[in-house]
Amino acid sequence: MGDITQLLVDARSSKDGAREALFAKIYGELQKLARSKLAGAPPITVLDAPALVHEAYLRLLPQNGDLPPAQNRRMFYGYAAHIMRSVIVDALREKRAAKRGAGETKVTLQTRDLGSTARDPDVEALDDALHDLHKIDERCAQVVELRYFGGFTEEQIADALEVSVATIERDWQKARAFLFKALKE
Amino acid sequence: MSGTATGSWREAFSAFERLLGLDAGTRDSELAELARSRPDLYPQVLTLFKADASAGAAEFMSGDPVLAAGHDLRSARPGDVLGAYRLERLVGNGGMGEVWLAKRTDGVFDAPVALKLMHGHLAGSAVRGRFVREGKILGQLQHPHIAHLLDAGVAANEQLYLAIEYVEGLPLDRWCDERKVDTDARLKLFLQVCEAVAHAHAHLLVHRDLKPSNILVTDAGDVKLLDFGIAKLIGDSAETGATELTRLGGRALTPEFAAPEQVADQPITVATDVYSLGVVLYVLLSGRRPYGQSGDTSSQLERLVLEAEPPPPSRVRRDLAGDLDTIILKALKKNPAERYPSVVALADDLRRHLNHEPVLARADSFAYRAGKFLRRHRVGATAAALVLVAVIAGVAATLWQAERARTEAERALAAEAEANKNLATAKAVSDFVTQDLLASVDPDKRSTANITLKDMLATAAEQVDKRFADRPEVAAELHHSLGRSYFGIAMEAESKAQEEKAVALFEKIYGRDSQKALSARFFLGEATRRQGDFSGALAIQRDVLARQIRILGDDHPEVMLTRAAVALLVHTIGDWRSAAVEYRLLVEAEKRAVPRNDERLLARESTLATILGDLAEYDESERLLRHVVSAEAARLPAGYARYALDSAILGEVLTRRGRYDEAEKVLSGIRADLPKQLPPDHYVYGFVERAWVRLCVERGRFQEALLLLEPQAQRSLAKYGSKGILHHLDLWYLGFAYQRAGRIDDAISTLRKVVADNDAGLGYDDPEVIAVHDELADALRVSGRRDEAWEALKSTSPKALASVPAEHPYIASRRRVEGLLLLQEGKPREGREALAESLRSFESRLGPDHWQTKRVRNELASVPAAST
Repeated sequence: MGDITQLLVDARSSKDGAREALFAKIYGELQKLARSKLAGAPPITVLDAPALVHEAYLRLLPQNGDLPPAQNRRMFYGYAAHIMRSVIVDALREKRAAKRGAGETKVTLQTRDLGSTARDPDVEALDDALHDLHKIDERCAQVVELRYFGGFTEEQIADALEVSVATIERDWQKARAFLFKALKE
Repeated sequence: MSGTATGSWREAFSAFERLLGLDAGTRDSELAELARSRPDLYPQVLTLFKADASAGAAEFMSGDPVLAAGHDLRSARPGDVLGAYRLERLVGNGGMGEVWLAKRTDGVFDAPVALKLMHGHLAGSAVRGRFVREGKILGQLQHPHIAHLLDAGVAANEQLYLAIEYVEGLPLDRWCDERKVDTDARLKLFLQVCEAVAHAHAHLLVHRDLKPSNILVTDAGDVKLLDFGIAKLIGDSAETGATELTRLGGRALTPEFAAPEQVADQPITVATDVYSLGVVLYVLLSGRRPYGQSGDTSSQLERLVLEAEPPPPSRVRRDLAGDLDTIILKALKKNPAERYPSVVALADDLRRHLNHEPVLARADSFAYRAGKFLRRHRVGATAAALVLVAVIAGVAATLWQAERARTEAERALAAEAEANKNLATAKAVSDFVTQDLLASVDPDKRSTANITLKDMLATAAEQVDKRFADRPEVAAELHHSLGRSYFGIAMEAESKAQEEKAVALFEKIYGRDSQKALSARFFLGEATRRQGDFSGALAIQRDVLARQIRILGDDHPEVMLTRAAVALLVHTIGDWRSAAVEYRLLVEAEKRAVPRNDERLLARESTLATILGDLAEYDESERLLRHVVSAEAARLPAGYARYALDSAILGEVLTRRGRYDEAEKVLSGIRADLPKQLPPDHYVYGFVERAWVRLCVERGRFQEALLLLEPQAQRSLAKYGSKGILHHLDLWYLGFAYQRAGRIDDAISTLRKVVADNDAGLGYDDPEVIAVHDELADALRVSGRRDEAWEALKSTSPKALASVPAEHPYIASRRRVEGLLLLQEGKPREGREALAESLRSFESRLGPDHWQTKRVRNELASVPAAST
């Protein structure tokens, strides 16, 4: 277990390779956790994203050291939400590739006969659109990661990004409209 | 994405954000402006607005991506076997799991079933046991409009599933929109929904998640209700299976259709479904949701559900004005107790509307209007205001009962008429209504399509005498009906004109003491009262009451109704002593008619107690209130508002008696509970706060009192205007607080305002003005303005003085001020006499230890003995 606190500090000061190292560390942990949760579960399973992120955080922390300051914790969650997005998108890609390889038809999530089709959009397309959104408004993209992929509440996000809840609500509204448009195209 | 595209999106984002902050009207005009000034930017901004609306409507990204990924990774597949079922194809996905079309493997039934696979959370044998048990209960629910739950089971891989009757259909709103169905047909479909929900309620099941997507309509036009899966057993407050399912499944509750108590995590009752049905009806008829815009977040929506008053649906669709507005808004009341008491009651009112009968939801608006009217025309103090609320609540209820009694009476009359083979009257009336009146609202026969109820009544009123010149018995019935209809929409002058005609005709045909003539006269009296002619109304109602007692006996419901009207009037004109007598009679009569703890009886007793409190009959008042409050406490959490109100009255009476510690205990308990129990705009808050302020003033906590009162007086001024009774009340206390805090000039100017408004002539004599004049005179005396002090005392209406007992604290205060004035003027003998009289009165009513008693005792003792 490496020194996650140091990695966070390094990542913050944009030290060469620190972000990548941090990403790899958290990614691995989250993926391991998600897989273990999915392993013995019945076909349909809800994963509690914030719980996973929190669990990863506890595991990655130096066990005997001081708790990192709140700022670091917030940073960690910001990264973790971003990484959660990658875990989900990658898992989905992997699975689809396997299915296609096995000659199965592609199953997309948005194809439903009844009910709201847009509740859970196609995650891959969403990932692409998020890249565009990131260029337009970085914080909006972060809000989507934290809220949609990280499962955080608006209050928690406001706390993590150090802005008001109203700002978060507006960012979410802008982001959602943009992504909806992008996915409809 | 190119750099330029990114740049222009950035600009569009900031324009979009700015416009989001504006209200709808300003936003539209700003958008139009943008189209002119920035044609390059406008399309992108517009795209964002459209996408925002669609995303909200489609609940875009409101799901959980991990869940979505989970589906794809480990989803069930066609051909999988669960219990006795084989999956055929995925047909949907709800908040609780996937829905599959499936068939039985054993071939017992060929019909397809919908198999609902619950999320994998629900492991553990306790949860599974509960799930199966819950399923059995739900399985007993059988109704043609409810999709039948066939089975609840656990598959070999531990997957929980529900097998439900498979329904092919469209969500209610889409079904109606696609077929372009008119309002009446929509209402009829909605009545099927009500029937199904009422059936479930009768089996102690509340749905808790009613929304159009849970209400399917088949091709044949039959409603099928889905998802009684989260229904909770009524009366089972423990966190049982269904609750667990809801919470673990997450997002099962749809904020757009959730009731305030659901958002606030408060007890769920049948009223919760009444509320959600109100939202469904709103959406179904107007095409819009009552709250918010499509872009609102869940937390914004939840706040709106708790706080915002929904605009009447007629704001969206003009033709919904009137009954449908009233019905929907009643179903959408924040306070469950103010909604329809049951789904059946809601359905009944809709049926009445479809049959063009008056709807009961009107009783509510009557109470509202009556309250407003009385507030406009009355000066008084807390007690009077409290009486008002109690009385209005009572009258609204009795009017409603009268309406019911009357229709029953009419039904009985119709039966009698039939027996006598005397159908002519009934037939003539019904022909007139169907042919003349309904024809007048037929758009083909009128130039305008929008015909109001008012127009219809005017047309009818015009024609009655002409059409039925030779049939006075028919004309009389019609005038009476018209009179009541006008009364119902608060057009008092028109109501009176119609009832006067009805009375004259009825008396001529059936005699002065006939029930028909008396019934019409009763409404004549009510309309007169509403016009503000209280003495005129009282004369009419007293006469009606005397005659009714003669022909119907003491305890007939109609007699009770008139008695309540009389008592209300007597109190309104300020004759407290007679009002107490009238109310005693009413309470006695109610005791014979209903059980001991009946709500109506308790409401009457509470009013009587308030009047007795006004009269300084504290022992009896307190005894009655304690009985009322404890009976109401036993019923909690039902009827909390009433309990809080009566506790506030009790606190107030205890305050007046000088039992401050007890009062504080009662009031602070209620103050702490209130925010948990009632929405912040509930009227009870005002009463509790005023009782509290009064306690603060009496206890000498002037700073706290002033801190509460000064902003409160500003608020009541803004809300009710300078002549509003509640504003006067605030000013009176404020004046009293200033006076006791030693701010004499502020006291004088504040109290003068109250007196001036009162003297502006309201036409009757409220004893509360005695207290205002007493306080003003005392303040003037203290600042040495003796002439003005005498003047203030003398300007009190003699009638007001006569209506309270001689020992009343108001009279005692007055004797004290007089005594002190006399002493200052060098008249020691008269002065001492007055003070001694004051002391005796205070001692007898408030006891020897009340501060008022002590104060006048000290003042009397300090008069030099030599001067006697």
